[in-house]
Amino acid sequence: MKIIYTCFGGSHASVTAAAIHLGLLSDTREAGNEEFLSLPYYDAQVAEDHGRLRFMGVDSAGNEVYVVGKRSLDERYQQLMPDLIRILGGNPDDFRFIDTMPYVNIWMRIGGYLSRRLKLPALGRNIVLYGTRRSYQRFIHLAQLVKKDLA
Amino acid sequence: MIVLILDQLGCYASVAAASYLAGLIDLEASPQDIYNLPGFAAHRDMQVGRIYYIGEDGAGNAYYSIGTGNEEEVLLRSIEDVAALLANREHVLAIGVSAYNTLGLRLLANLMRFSPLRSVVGMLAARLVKRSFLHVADYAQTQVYARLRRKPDIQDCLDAP
Repeated sequence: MKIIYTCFGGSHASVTAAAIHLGLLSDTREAGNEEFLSLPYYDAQVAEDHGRLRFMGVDSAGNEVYVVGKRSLDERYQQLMPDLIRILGGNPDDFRFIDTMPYVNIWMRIGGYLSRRLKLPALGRNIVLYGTRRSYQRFIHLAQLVKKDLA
Repeated sequence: MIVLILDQLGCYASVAAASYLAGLIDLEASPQDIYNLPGFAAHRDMQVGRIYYIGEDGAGNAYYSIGTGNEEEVLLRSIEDVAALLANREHVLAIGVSAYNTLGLRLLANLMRFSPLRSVVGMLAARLVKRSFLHVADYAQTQVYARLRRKPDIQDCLDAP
Protein backbone atom coordinates (compact mmCIF):
# COMPACT_ATOMS: atom_id res chain seq x y z
CA MET A 1 0.00 0.00 0.00
CA LYS A 2 1.15 3.51 -0.80
CA ILE A 3 0.00 6.21 1.60
CA ILE A 4 0.10 9.70 0.13
CA TYR A 5 -0.41 12.66 2.45
CA THR A 6 -1.50 15.75 0.55
CA CYS A 7 -1.56 19.45 1.33
CA PHE A 8 -1.26 22.71 -0.60
CA GLY A 9 2.50 22.86 -1.08
CA GLY A 10 3.73 19.52 0.27
CA SER A 11 5.95 21.37 2.72
CA HIS A 12 4.32 21.51 6.14
CA ALA A 13 1.05 19.74 6.96
CA SER A 14 1.59 16.66 4.80
CA VAL A 15 5.23 16.34 5.88
CA THR A 16 4.27 16.63 9.57
CA ALA A 17 1.47 14.04 9.32
CA ALA A 18 3.67 11.67 7.30
CA ALA A 19 6.53 12.06 9.78
CA ILE A 20 4.24 11.21 12.71
CA HIS A 21 2.91 8.23 10.74
CA LEU A 22 6.47 7.00 10.16
CA GLY A 23 7.63 7.62 13.73
CA LEU A 24 10.05 10.36 12.65
CA LEU A 25 8.16 12.65 15.03
CA SER A 26 6.81 11.61 18.40
CA ASP A 27 3.11 10.85 18.74
CA THR A 28 3.19 11.22 22.52
CA ARG A 29 4.68 14.67 22.95
CA GLU A 30 4.86 17.87 20.92
CA ALA A 31 7.87 18.03 18.61
CA GLY A 32 10.34 20.92 18.83
CA ASN A 33 11.34 23.32 16.08
CA GLU A 34 14.63 21.54 15.41
CA GLU A 35 12.83 18.24 14.92
CA PHE A 36 10.50 19.79 12.34
CA LEU A 37 13.33 21.45 10.48
CA SER A 38 15.34 18.23 10.35
CA LEU A 39 12.53 16.47 8.47
CA PRO A 40 13.04 15.89 4.75
CA TYR A 41 11.05 18.42 2.67
CA TYR A 42 9.82 20.42 5.69
CA ASP A 43 9.57 24.07 4.57
CA ALA A 44 11.73 23.17 1.61
CA GLN A 45 9.53 22.55 -1.43
CA VAL A 46 9.08 25.22 -4.09
CA ALA A 47 6.49 25.72 -6.82
CA GLU A 48 8.38 23.46 -9.24
CA ASP A 49 8.02 20.60 -6.75
CA HIS A 50 4.23 20.83 -6.49
CA GLY A 51 2.64 17.68 -7.83
CA ARG A 52 5.78 15.60 -7.27
CA LEU A 53 5.27 12.56 -5.06
CA ARG A 54 8.04 12.74 -2.46
CA PHE A 55 9.00 9.53 -0.71
CA MET A 56 9.17 9.92 3.07
CA GLY A 57 9.77 6.33 4.20
CA VAL A 58 8.28 2.92 4.91
CA ASP A 59 6.09 2.46 7.97
CA SER A 60 6.14 -0.45 10.40
CA ALA A 61 3.48 -2.30 8.37
CA GLY A 62 5.54 -2.04 5.17
CA ASN A 63 3.48 0.74 3.59
CA GLU A 64 5.34 3.33 1.54
CA VAL A 65 4.59 6.88 2.69
CA TYR A 66 4.74 9.86 0.35
CA VAL A 67 3.83 13.55 0.47
CA VAL A 68 2.56 15.72 -2.37
CA GLY A 69 1.55 19.35 -2.86
CA LYS A 70 -1.67 19.55 -4.84
CA ARG A 71 -2.09 23.35 -4.86
CA SER A 72 -5.62 24.53 -5.55
CA LEU A 73 -6.81 21.17 -6.89
CA ASP A 74 -7.87 20.47 -3.30
CA GLU A 75 -10.29 17.56 -2.86
CA ARG A 76 -10.53 17.18 -6.64
CA TYR A 77 -7.00 15.76 -6.54
CA GLN A 78 -8.18 12.86 -4.37
CA GLN A 79 -11.19 12.34 -6.63
CA LEU A 80 -9.12 12.38 -9.80
CA MET A 81 -6.16 10.23 -8.82
CA PRO A 82 -7.99 6.88 -8.33
CA ASP A 83 -9.44 7.19 -11.84
CA LEU A 84 -6.04 8.12 -13.22
CA ILE A 85 -4.40 5.18 -11.47
CA ARG A 86 -7.01 2.85 -12.97
CA ILE A 87 -6.38 4.26 -16.47
CA LEU A 88 -2.63 3.92 -16.00
CA GLY A 89 -3.07 0.23 -15.27
CA GLY A 90 -2.82 0.29 -11.48
CA ASN A 91 -5.16 -0.71 -8.70
CA PRO A 92 -6.58 2.35 -6.90
CA ASP A 93 -6.99 0.23 -3.77
CA ASP A 94 -3.20 0.09 -3.50
CA PHE A 95 -3.11 3.85 -2.97
CA ARG A 96 -4.54 5.91 -0.14
CA PHE A 97 -4.66 9.68 -0.47
CA ILE A 98 -4.96 11.52 2.83
CA ASP A 99 -5.98 15.18 2.81
CA THR A 100 -4.29 17.15 5.60
CA MET A 101 -5.76 20.53 4.65
CA PRO A 102 -8.56 20.42 7.27
CA TYR A 103 -5.83 20.39 9.92
CA VAL A 104 -4.04 23.46 8.60
CA ASN A 105 -4.57 26.58 10.71
CA ILE A 106 -4.26 30.25 9.79
CA TRP A 107 -0.70 30.46 11.15
CA MET A 108 0.45 27.66 8.89
CA ARG A 109 -1.18 29.39 5.92
CA ILE A 110 0.39 32.77 6.66
CA GLY A 111 3.80 31.31 7.54
CA GLY A 112 3.77 28.96 4.56
CA TYR A 113 2.85 31.78 2.20
CA LEU A 114 5.60 34.04 3.52
CA SER A 115 8.23 31.33 3.56
CA ARG A 116 7.47 29.46 0.35
CA ARG A 117 5.61 31.85 -1.95
CA LEU A 118 7.25 35.15 -0.99
CA LYS A 119 10.57 33.44 -0.25
CA LEU A 120 10.86 35.06 3.16
CA PRO A 121 11.80 32.06 5.33
CA ALA A 122 13.34 34.23 8.00
CA LEU A 123 9.90 35.73 8.56
CA GLY A 124 7.59 32.88 7.63
CA ARG A 125 9.38 29.88 9.09
CA ASN A 126 8.81 30.78 12.74
CA ILE A 127 5.15 31.48 12.05
CA VAL A 128 4.64 28.18 10.25
CA LEU A 129 6.48 26.34 13.01
CA TYR A 130 4.21 27.96 15.58
CA GLY A 131 1.19 26.96 13.52
CA THR A 132 2.43 23.40 13.10
CA ARG A 133 2.90 23.06 16.86
CA ARG A 134 -0.60 24.47 17.43
CA SER A 135 -2.10 21.77 15.19
CA TYR A 136 0.28 19.03 16.27
CA GLN A 137 -2.26 17.06 18.30
CA ARG A 138 -4.56 17.07 15.30
CA PHE A 139 -1.84 15.66 13.06
CA ILE A 140 -1.19 12.94 15.65
CA HIS A 141 -4.90 12.14 15.62
CA LEU A 142 -4.94 12.01 11.81
CA ALA A 143 -1.88 9.73 11.58
CA GLN A 144 -3.38 7.42 14.22
CA LEU A 145 -6.69 7.30 12.33
CA VAL A 146 -4.88 6.40 9.11
CA LYS A 147 -2.85 3.67 10.79
CA LYS A 148 -5.95 2.30 12.54
CA ASP A 149 -7.82 2.30 9.26
CA LEU A 150 -5.00 0.38 7.56
CA ALA A 151 -4.68 -2.22 10.31
CA MET B 1 0.42 3.75 -24.97
CA ILE B 2 -1.94 5.87 -22.87
CA VAL B 3 -1.98 9.51 -23.89
CA LEU B 4 -3.48 12.00 -21.44
CA ILE B 5 -4.09 15.49 -22.80
CA LEU B 6 -4.71 18.18 -20.23
CA ASP B 7 -6.36 21.59 -20.36
CA GLN B 8 -8.49 23.70 -18.04
CA LEU B 9 -11.72 21.69 -18.34
CA GLY B 10 -10.72 18.76 -20.53
CA CYS B 11 -13.29 19.86 -23.09
CA TYR B 12 -11.69 22.19 -25.64
CA ALA B 13 -8.13 22.16 -27.03
CA SER B 14 -7.48 18.84 -25.30
CA VAL B 15 -10.48 17.21 -26.99
CA ALA B 16 -9.51 18.60 -30.39
CA ALA B 17 -5.91 17.40 -30.03
CA ALA B 18 -6.87 13.99 -28.68
CA SER B 19 -9.49 13.52 -31.40
CA TYR B 20 -6.98 14.39 -34.10
CA LEU B 21 -4.47 11.92 -32.71
CA ALA B 22 -7.16 9.26 -32.37
CA GLY B 23 -8.11 9.80 -36.00
CA LEU B 24 -11.62 11.10 -35.32
CA ILE B 25 -10.93 14.30 -37.29
CA ASP B 26 -8.28 15.47 -39.73
CA LEU B 27 -6.54 18.82 -40.15
CA GLU B 28 -9.30 20.04 -42.46
CA ALA B 29 -11.95 19.62 -39.74
CA SER B 30 -14.57 22.35 -39.75
CA PRO B 31 -15.87 24.06 -36.59
CA GLN B 32 -18.98 21.89 -36.94
CA ASP B 33 -16.81 18.73 -36.95
CA ILE B 34 -15.06 19.97 -33.81
CA TYR B 35 -18.36 20.83 -32.15
CA ASN B 36 -19.64 17.30 -32.85
CA LEU B 37 -16.64 15.62 -31.19
CA PRO B 38 -17.41 13.45 -28.17
CA GLY B 39 -16.48 15.39 -25.07
CA PHE B 40 -16.27 18.76 -26.78
CA ALA B 41 -17.80 21.48 -24.55
CA ALA B 42 -19.32 18.64 -22.55
CA HIS B 43 -19.08 20.33 -19.16
CA ARG B 44 -22.16 21.74 -17.43
CA ASP B 45 -20.22 23.51 -14.69
CA MET B 46 -16.67 24.70 -14.13
CA GLN B 47 -15.71 21.58 -12.17
CA VAL B 48 -12.16 20.44 -12.93
CA GLY B 49 -10.76 16.96 -12.46
CA ARG B 50 -12.97 15.13 -14.93
CA ILE B 51 -11.53 12.58 -17.34
CA TYR B 52 -13.02 11.99 -20.80
CA TYR B 53 -12.22 8.98 -22.94
CA ILE B 54 -11.76 10.23 -26.51
CA GLY B 55 -10.79 7.17 -28.50
CA GLU B 56 -8.09 4.88 -29.73
CA ASP B 57 -5.91 5.08 -32.83
CA GLY B 58 -4.99 2.28 -35.20
CA ALA B 59 -1.83 1.50 -33.22
CA GLY B 60 -3.80 0.86 -30.06
CA ASN B 61 -2.89 4.11 -28.30
CA ALA B 62 -5.73 5.29 -26.05
CA TYR B 63 -6.47 9.00 -25.72
CA TYR B 64 -8.06 10.78 -22.78
CA SER B 65 -8.64 14.44 -21.98
CA ILE B 66 -8.46 15.77 -18.43
CA GLY B 67 -9.58 19.04 -16.88
CA THR B 68 -6.98 20.45 -14.54
CA GLY B 69 -8.08 24.04 -13.91
CA ASN B 70 -5.01 26.23 -13.50
CA GLU B 71 -2.90 23.38 -12.15
CA GLU B 72 -1.80 21.69 -15.33
CA GLU B 73 1.86 21.55 -14.30
CA VAL B 74 0.99 20.03 -10.92
CA LEU B 75 -0.98 17.24 -12.52
CA LEU B 76 1.62 16.62 -15.23
CA ARG B 77 4.18 15.96 -12.49
CA SER B 78 1.81 13.76 -10.49
CA ILE B 79 0.92 11.69 -13.55
CA GLU B 80 4.61 11.19 -14.31
CA ASP B 81 5.34 10.10 -10.74
CA VAL B 82 2.30 7.82 -10.42
CA ALA B 83 3.21 6.19 -13.75
CA ALA B 84 6.74 5.67 -12.39
CA LEU B 85 5.34 4.09 -9.21
CA LEU B 86 3.26 1.76 -11.37
CA ALA B 87 6.36 0.95 -13.44
CA ASN B 88 4.36 2.11 -16.45
CA ARG B 89 6.23 5.28 -17.30
CA GLU B 90 7.20 4.17 -20.81
CA HIS B 91 3.57 3.60 -21.75
CA VAL B 92 2.13 6.86 -20.46
CA LEU B 93 2.39 10.28 -22.02
CA ALA B 94 0.81 13.40 -20.51
CA ILE B 95 0.61 16.55 -22.60
CA GLY B 96 -0.57 19.97 -21.42
CA VAL B 97 -2.38 22.12 -23.99
CA SER B 98 -4.02 24.72 -21.71
CA ALA B 99 -2.05 27.49 -23.41
CA TYR B 100 -3.98 26.86 -26.65
CA ASN B 101 -7.29 27.78 -25.00
CA THR B 102 -7.48 31.54 -25.48
CA LEU B 103 -8.77 33.93 -22.85
CA GLY B 104 -11.90 34.45 -24.96
CA LEU B 105 -12.53 30.72 -25.04
CA ARG B 106 -12.07 30.43 -21.30
CA LEU B 107 -14.52 33.25 -20.70
CA LEU B 108 -16.95 31.67 -23.14
CA ALA B 109 -16.70 28.36 -21.29
CA ASN B 110 -18.35 30.03 -18.30
CA LEU B 111 -21.52 30.47 -20.33
CA MET B 112 -21.86 26.71 -20.86
CA ARG B 113 -23.49 26.59 -17.44
CA PHE B 114 -26.60 28.21 -18.87
CA SER B 115 -28.61 25.56 -20.71
CA PRO B 116 -30.32 27.80 -23.29
CA LEU B 117 -26.95 29.09 -24.46
CA ARG B 118 -25.17 25.76 -24.68
CA SER B 119 -25.48 25.09 -28.41
CA VAL B 120 -24.63 28.67 -29.46
CA VAL B 121 -21.72 28.92 -27.04
CA GLY B 122 -20.51 25.46 -28.08
CA MET B 123 -20.44 26.51 -31.75
CA LEU B 124 -18.58 29.73 -30.92
CA ALA B 125 -16.12 27.75 -28.84
CA ALA B 126 -15.59 25.33 -31.74
CA ARG B 127 -14.76 28.29 -34.00
CA LEU B 128 -12.19 29.55 -31.49
CA VAL B 129 -10.65 26.10 -31.13
CA LYS B 130 -10.50 25.77 -34.91
CA ARG B 131 -8.28 28.91 -35.03
CA SER B 132 -5.55 27.26 -32.99
CA PHE B 133 -6.31 23.71 -34.11
CA LEU B 134 -3.30 23.34 -36.45
CA HIS B 135 -0.93 24.45 -33.72
CA VAL B 136 -2.37 22.31 -30.95
CA ALA B 137 -2.53 19.30 -33.28
CA ASP B 138 1.10 19.89 -34.25
CA TYR B 139 2.21 20.24 -30.65
CA ALA B 140 0.38 17.12 -29.49
CA GLN B 141 1.52 15.07 -32.46
CA THR B 142 5.12 16.17 -31.99
CA GLN B 143 4.97 15.10 -28.34
CA VAL B 144 3.55 11.70 -29.22
CA TYR B 145 5.95 11.13 -32.09
CA ALA B 146 8.91 12.21 -29.97
CA ARG B 147 7.98 9.41 -27.61
CA LEU B 148 7.51 7.00 -30.48
CA ARG B 149 10.64 8.36 -32.23
CA ARG B 150 8.75 9.15 -35.44
CA LYS B 151 8.66 12.25 -37.64
CA PRO B 152 5.35 14.13 -37.37
CA ASP B 153 3.66 14.17 -40.77
CA ILE B 154 1.73 17.33 -39.86
CA GLN B 155 5.00 19.29 -40.17
CA ASP B 156 4.78 19.21 -43.97
CA CYS B 157 1.33 20.75 -43.76
CA LEU B 158 2.47 23.55 -41.43
CA ASP B 159 5.55 24.29 -43.52
CA ALA B 160 3.50 24.63 -46.67
CA PRO B 161 3.03 28.25 -47.88
